[in-house]
Amino acid sequence: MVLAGKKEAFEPLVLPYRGSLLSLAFRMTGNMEDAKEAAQETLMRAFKYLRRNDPERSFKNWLLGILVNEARKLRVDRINAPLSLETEVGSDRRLAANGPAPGDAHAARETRSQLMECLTALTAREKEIFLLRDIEELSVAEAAEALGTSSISVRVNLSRARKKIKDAILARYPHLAEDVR
Amino acid sequence: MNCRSIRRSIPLLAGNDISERKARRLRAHLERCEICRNEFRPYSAALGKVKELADRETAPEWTDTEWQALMTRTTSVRIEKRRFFSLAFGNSPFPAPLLGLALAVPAVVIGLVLWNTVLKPKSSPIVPAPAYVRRPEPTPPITAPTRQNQKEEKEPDVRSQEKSIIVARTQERERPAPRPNEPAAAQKESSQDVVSVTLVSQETGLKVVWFLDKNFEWKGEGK
Repeated sequence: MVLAGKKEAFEPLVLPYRGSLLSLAFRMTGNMEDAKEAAQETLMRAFKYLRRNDPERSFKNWLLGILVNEARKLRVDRINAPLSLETEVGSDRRLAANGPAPGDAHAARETRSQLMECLTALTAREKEIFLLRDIEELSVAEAAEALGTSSISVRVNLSRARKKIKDAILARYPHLAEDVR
Repeated sequence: MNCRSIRRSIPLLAGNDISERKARRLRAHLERCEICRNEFRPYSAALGKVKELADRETAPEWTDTEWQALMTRTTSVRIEKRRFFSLAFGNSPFPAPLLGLALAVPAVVIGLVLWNTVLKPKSSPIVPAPAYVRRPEPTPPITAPTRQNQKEEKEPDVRSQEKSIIVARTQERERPAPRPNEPAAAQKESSQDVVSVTLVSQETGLKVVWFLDKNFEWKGEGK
């Protein structure tokens, strides 16, 4: 329908993935501003290149593949760009303004920081694969398709990522190690 | 399977990312081996904790205003037109490599036909060999003059009496069988050409044959 010229049909197409796109972008980029930029760029590219989508492939996986590429591009841009203190402060203020009530926001931020801190132990590639497989719950084959790589590469990186995450979690929650014994 | 190879597969087993058959073997090993079991449990616990943290986490969201603005901006972008390939073949049921092959085969055939008919350079015409490389006409063997021949020559034919005939012939001397000790150069020497010059007397009919080597040096004579 969208390709036939009915542009309004695009919104119902992407609406089910509205939340997962933004949360994955946030986990990949690590801040809200970049996450919104990456997700926005993803939606725009998805609309522009909708004709390239293979109807036999999952639309969600196609969107996630674009998002991973956009987040990667953004990360490279951020590495090359000089750091700005103003941007960081502004990002935190916006996060506070858009979030839930102050008490809940503190708890959510605490949880977010714990998860994000565990994810910092991973390399960029491992993080992409871990997020797609273990958080978004794509299969290994789907993750490989979204990332444009082989299943073997996904398995190797996934193994490494899980080992690092296990170490990070056990360091943060030592009682877990005792509970399992 | 030993413990070392089991431990390599444990991270994948924790997320059920290995085949059912291999998983059964691994689980059977884990039941027997306590060290491997102690290695496996933290993985399961850590992955469970990560999923719990992800579920508890407040997902970031767009406000409705932001979302509407984003949709307006997104749909204002022009959709990419069909590329040449999809324009030409549409949603072809054939995979791209097959289509490529189907195009390549006629292209090669047309190329070969063009090459053979138009583009191939024509072969050069056959040039006759120059006169000096032509093989000389075979000459009859020289026979030594016998008494009968001499008698015939004493009564020469009218036509043969008209003038003396000088015939120069070139013939190859019969090659003697190479001797085992003879050097190769000497063997080569023996096959050199010999020139014979035949002189026939107009009056008496006497025939004299001179043999000369290739340097026109006297080698002998025959009658």
